Amino acid sequence: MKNRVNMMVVLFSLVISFLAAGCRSGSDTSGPIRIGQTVALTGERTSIGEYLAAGAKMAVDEINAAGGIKGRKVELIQEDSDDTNPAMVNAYNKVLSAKPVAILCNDVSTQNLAIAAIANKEKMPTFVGGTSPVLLQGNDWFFRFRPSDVLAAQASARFAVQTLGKKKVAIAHLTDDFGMAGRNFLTKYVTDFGGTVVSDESYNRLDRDFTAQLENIRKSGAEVIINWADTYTAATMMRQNKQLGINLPLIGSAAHGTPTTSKLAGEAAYGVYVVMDGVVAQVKDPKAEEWVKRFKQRYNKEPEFNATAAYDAIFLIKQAIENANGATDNESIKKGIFAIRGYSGIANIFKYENNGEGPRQVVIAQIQANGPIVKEAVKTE
Amino acid sequence: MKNRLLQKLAWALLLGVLLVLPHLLPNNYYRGVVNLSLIYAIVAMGLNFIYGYTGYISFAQAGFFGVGAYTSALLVVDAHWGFWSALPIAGLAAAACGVAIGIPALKLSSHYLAMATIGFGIIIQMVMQNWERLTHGASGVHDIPSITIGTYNVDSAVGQYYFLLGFLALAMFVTWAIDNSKLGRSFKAVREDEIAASSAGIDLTFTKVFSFALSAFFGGVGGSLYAHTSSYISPDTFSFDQSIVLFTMVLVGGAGTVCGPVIGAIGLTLAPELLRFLKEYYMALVGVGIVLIMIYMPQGVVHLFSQDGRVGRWLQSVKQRSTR
Amino acid sequence: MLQLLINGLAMGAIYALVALGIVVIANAVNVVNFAQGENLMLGAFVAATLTLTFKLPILAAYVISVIVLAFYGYVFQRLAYYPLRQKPFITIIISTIGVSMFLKNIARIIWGAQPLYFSGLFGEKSIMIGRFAVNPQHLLILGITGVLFLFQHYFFNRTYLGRKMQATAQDQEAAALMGIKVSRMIAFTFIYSSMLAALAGVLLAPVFYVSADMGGMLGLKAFAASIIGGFGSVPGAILGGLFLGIVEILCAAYVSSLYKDAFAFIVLILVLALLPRGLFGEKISTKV
Repeated sequence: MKNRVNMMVVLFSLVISFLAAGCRSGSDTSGPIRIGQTVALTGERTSIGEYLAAGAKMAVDEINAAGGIKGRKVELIQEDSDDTNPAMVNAYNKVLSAKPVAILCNDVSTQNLAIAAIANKEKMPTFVGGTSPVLLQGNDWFFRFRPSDVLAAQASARFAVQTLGKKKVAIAHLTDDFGMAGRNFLTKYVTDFGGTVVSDESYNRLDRDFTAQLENIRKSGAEVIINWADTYTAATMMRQNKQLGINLPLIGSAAHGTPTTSKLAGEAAYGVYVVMDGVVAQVKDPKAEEWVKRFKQRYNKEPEFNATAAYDAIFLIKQAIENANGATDNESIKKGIFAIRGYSGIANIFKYENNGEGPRQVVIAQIQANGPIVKEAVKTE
Repeated sequence: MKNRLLQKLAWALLLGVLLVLPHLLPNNYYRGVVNLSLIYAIVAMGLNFIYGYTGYISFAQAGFFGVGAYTSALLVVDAHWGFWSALPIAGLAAAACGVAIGIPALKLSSHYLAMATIGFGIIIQMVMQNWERLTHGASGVHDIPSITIGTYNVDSAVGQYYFLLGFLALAMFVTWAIDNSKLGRSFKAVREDEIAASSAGIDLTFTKVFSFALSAFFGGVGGSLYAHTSSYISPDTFSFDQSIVLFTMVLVGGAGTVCGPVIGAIGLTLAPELLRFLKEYYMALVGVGIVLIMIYMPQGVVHLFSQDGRVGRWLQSVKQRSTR
Repeated sequence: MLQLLINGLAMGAIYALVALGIVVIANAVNVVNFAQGENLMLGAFVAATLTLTFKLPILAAYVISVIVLAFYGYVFQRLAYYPLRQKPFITIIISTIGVSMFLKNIARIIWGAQPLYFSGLFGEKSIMIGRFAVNPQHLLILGITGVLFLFQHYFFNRTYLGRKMQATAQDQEAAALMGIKVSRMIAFTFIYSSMLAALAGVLLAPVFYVSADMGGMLGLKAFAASIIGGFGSVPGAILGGLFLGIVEILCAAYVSSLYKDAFAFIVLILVLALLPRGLFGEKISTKV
């Protein structure tokens, strides 16, 4: 029986150390403004998470160097959301316990949905990096900082069918939430713009050989491929499109244009079209170019769109608080966000009005040897 | 005398803490982690039947967990059933999957069985992800309503804690009952020596298949509880990696005991949270930790404290020295 | 169709290469090394660092990586296997899972979270035969797998060291009684397996890209392939791998690319249910 007692001692100590592991005091109206961020610092998506974290940190440091928001310093609280729903929930709750004014969430739509109920219950303004159209349905406290996939799909479909004039479209996509939803919208818009979807092929994140998919695409007589992929699968598709001699024009999702993907794909990326939030490196915008310089100086690597988006998100929160004259309670912040009607971020334009659909622009760029060149910018009202 | 009084005090203290724990915890983050560990404890207890008692390696437990979660969520969200009708069906659906694995598993052993269960788990996950019309596909099922008892809505972290604690207690009671029953003895007999068990009159087929079904049932019930306390589920949660974590919980806590999986579940759910300050290093440390645990306490924490475990024996020696 | 077969065969050779490393250890010590995928990943990262940071020629990077992993193999076995050698195999398996967790995360810390790329030994252009494209790296992989098959046959059956290792694998006690230093043979086995992993990793780098997660699913499927081919048998591992590669790609092309990953495991379960010895199971693993 004594063993039971000792086990309980062990359990107790676990619980006690758990309680002791960090308890933050509540916020007051003159202390620092806390902004939370749940992002993947471990797990498979760290390669994206580190950009989100870097962009946000850079923004917070720059704001503080310039005097903070309405004289108050900003404190960024980052917690690791690993790569699972339960970990994301824990991270979000942990950040919540520090009573921030707003929370930035990572780019995985399913993980964003995992905390939706909590965000709604706590009325916590949450900036989500996911691009799924489902995110804003019924979630009044969600605000996007990356454009919805509907926008990206529409722009890609129109570019393929109307600008490039290729009516027979093959859609290749990931089997995850992003890829499947993307496929649904691409199919709809391709048909709407007058094209036909002659092939629908999918692959999962770990698949590195698309011979089967590409052979089917070849057989279908497609004239263009629209590819909804992540870093690795984008690179694989671009390479094998050339390697297998298929050489069809390719329009890819945002991941096709990042510096990491370019390293993986090498020359196979040249000529590929990418639908991106905004082209950071090549857009003729001195503000963006200067931002890229600052990022490279600070982090010693090329930025990608997730870093820009997170950076913009922090500044959006700043703008919202300023719109609310310094008030930081959730209702005021929400009103402050809705008052953002044309904020020009580094790579996107934001207008919230009365819902969370903030980012209004996507661009179609073509990858060249010295970086992406914008071909078309698509804005929605 | 003093010993027994001490014991009774300890039990009372434990019970007391358990009853007021959510109010002792400062905020919903802590409560959320505790609630999650209670759910995992139930699922791990299921795995304990097939591995701890019957001695078969199963890496499919996350699949059963998922089947239960999806069955329950879909019945309530799409077919408008109530939670209390959906819960047993969720368990039974998972149990059916358990039977589906159990039958071909009859002639397999060790490596082969482990691999087959991995395969099953992955296939189950892919079905969840790709059969869009049934499961809502990769986007998952959202807005899963919380559990209602009469007019009371179990949607607060505190309420959920008591609810889950009740279920865990029930699960522990059932496990304890089976442990001391003929069924439990059949499980253990199969683990020790199949041929001898069969000669002793134990129906091997029934015992093995039922063990899988029982494990899966617990997993399914855990899944249903998870779905209705999280309000959102998606296929990526029910992965092979999750099965590994569940298996490790059973192993670290102590396979084949009633408390073992619970301790393992609580420990392995709390540990990553406790170690958050290590940032990117914590998962690497968890890996090292697992190796060390396998080397130094392969039979789990519970065994460590029992009569012939290291801590148990050390305590015995301390006791003996103090009474000299 | 031919294109599918070519690439399916190449993918199969990859599975075979990884499966070889798993089977060699399983035969020797009755343990499935769940960290084999991560060993592969280490080999790839080492080679990547040598080529990208130190600008070494690719062939040199391949060779050095294999040698580095040989040393690593010794360390791995000393730390993760040796202390557990008397324990039940499930304990050892979980230990290797712990090692794989550790390696994945330590790799991310050492090399960063961004994936790396370096080209194959013969560059990036495909060789076009008619309208069929053949990736030279795939040919290399197939070639090396073939060479290894012959080499292993020769080594394990004709050389003294090889036969000692085989004897240890078949019966440790008897081998010890014959004067074979069992622990040394086991160490050699782990070293050999790690070298195989390194080889697989460097060959795979241009196809899979070098990242901390490159090995996980690969290890699982290779394990499945070795069971399909007949667990414990070296020809079984190779043939199982090739078989799996081809079946997978054909199913993805003609049935459904959505479930591509599942096919490997469906085939596995069918084989286990219908042909428990595997397709070419000649050596029944009696250690089961």
